[in-house]
Amino acid sequence: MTEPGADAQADRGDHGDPAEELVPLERRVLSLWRLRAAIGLAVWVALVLAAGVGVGRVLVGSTTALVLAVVGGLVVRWWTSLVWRAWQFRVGDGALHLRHGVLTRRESTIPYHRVQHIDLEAGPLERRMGLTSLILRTASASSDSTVPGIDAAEAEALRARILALVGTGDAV
Amino acid sequence: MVDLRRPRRTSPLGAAFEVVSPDRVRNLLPVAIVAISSGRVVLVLLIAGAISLVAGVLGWLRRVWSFDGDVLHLDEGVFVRNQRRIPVDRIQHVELERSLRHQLFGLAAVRVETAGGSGAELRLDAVARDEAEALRSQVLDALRTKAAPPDAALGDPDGWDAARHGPVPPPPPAPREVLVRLPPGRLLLAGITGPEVVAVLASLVFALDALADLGVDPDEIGRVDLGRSAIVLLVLVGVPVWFLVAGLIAVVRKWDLTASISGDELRVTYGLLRKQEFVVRTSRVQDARVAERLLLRPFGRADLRVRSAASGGGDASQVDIPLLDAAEIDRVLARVLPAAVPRPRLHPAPPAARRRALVRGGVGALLAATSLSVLAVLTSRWWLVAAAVALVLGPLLGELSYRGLGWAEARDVHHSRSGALARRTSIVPEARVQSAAVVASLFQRRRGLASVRLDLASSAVGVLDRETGECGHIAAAVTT
Repeated sequence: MTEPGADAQADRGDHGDPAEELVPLERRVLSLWRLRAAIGLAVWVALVLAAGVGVGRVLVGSTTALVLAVVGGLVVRWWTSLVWRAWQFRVGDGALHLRHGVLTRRESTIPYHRVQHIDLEAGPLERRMGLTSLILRTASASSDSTVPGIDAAEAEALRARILALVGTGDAV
Repeated sequence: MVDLRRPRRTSPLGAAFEVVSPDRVRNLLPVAIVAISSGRVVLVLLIAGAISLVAGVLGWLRRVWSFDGDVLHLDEGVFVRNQRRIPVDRIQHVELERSLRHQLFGLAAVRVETAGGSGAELRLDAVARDEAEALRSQVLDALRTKAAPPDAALGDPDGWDAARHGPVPPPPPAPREVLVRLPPGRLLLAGITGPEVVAVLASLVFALDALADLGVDPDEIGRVDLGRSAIVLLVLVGVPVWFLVAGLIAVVRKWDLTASISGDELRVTYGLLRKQEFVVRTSRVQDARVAERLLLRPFGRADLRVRSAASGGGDASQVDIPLLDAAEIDRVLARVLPAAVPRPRLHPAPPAARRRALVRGGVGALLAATSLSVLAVLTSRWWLVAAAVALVLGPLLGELSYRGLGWAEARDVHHSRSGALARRTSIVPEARVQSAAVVASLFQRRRGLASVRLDLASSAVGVLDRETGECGHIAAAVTT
């Protein structure tokens, strides 16, 4: 299991019994999300700069770009940490439990006996950080069953554990 | 015997197939356009071709599969890497496909399907024929030795038996029992109160538009001084004709609508000119929905929809039977979801949900009234009347949508209703719920409310605005 992050665990014990063993995502995921957001932001800043040069108002363009970069950076930093704090999950005995969402909170339960197949998915950035997403696929397209960013080695162990528990039958 | 436990790539020809696959060729089209417009056709096409080749080869190098007797493994992806694991128990079909190009090179395409609507869960485009056949026979062997009895929950005896023992001889046809047959009068009523009304109106508008195209100015029609009595006459005649046409369309389209059951097959047939037939397997029914139309609710008439899961990669199927009375709905439900009848009395949503609905309606009304008032200042005073109407209607709709909410559970079947004007009640057996989520927006949390989403193989069903604790109980009940 991932080691419980102290701050995220402290104030979340108020939602009944399953909450006790909920664990946060890897701290590295926060860096991953920030890096992704930063890349997106950099594109926008570059666009604003280019637009400023394009219309011949370099000063206005670069000032806007600077403000955008600073404000955007702060917002990204603040928001991603909120999202990270809100994210918790538990690989239970019979089901995977997820809890996430800042404004809209979601608490999902995916019983293993409904799992059709399991995906581990990792993009280039995730691989560099040794992270991977664990996705339990059920027969329902609307299932909310992705754990983003678990330690890659950890994820394989989790997958093996869940695969051993999925049981028999076609589960529909 | 081919040992499939060792991870292996698909045939090297798979890389070639991938380079010339229709998807990639389609991706090359815009490149070709760029090439032609830039005048450097050969250079651009060479670069694009090289990229395509490298991508195809890399994709092939990265695609590795194996089968260890319990789990089917597939790792693929160049940038985003995906490792898929399919437990053999979940496999519904293994299909081999050999098109001309496969036959030329002694290859086969393999499709492995599990339950659910998304089609093939695993597809290998070019596998040596002996490997493909080994995979199929080893999967079937594994399924056989697992000896999981095809219990009631799995609900696709066809797929399983076909996968395990080859095609089974069809059982003798069970006698067909007619559950409901709709007389033309009821079809007329269905048309007058159904979507056909809007469709006819739309075609009227279209006809007026066509008139304008013919050189008849629609404004010209308006400008002709008809006189008040003529307009009244037009409305008195035109509106009934409009509705009558809608009703007649429904009568012709849904002529002799009959719901019948034979064995585990619920069949709905109808149509005068074009005969249509819809079938669901009762053993695979996922949920049912009772939709009460606005105008017909006082008369206790409602439409019934029964949905089943996809079987063997096909789309999820459904049947619709309009304008049934309560007894008829129960008669059909008793056959497709026996535990759903008698239908329980629904518990209303908590008082906090009423306050939320009223606030929502009120805020909506305020927004509408504000914009209508602006319109009134800019144009005609009459918009103020509309603004006043909106102010009354908003909270009224809020109250109605609160009254529409209801939920109950009986015999492990959940009944969930919502809707302000037209009401829909979803009927979901716990045994069909794939996963569940308790979802609470900021506004819901402030009032101690939440909703539950029940994920089904057919779609998702919501239980809206219950107390948070109750939502937790519902979610726990459906996922154990």
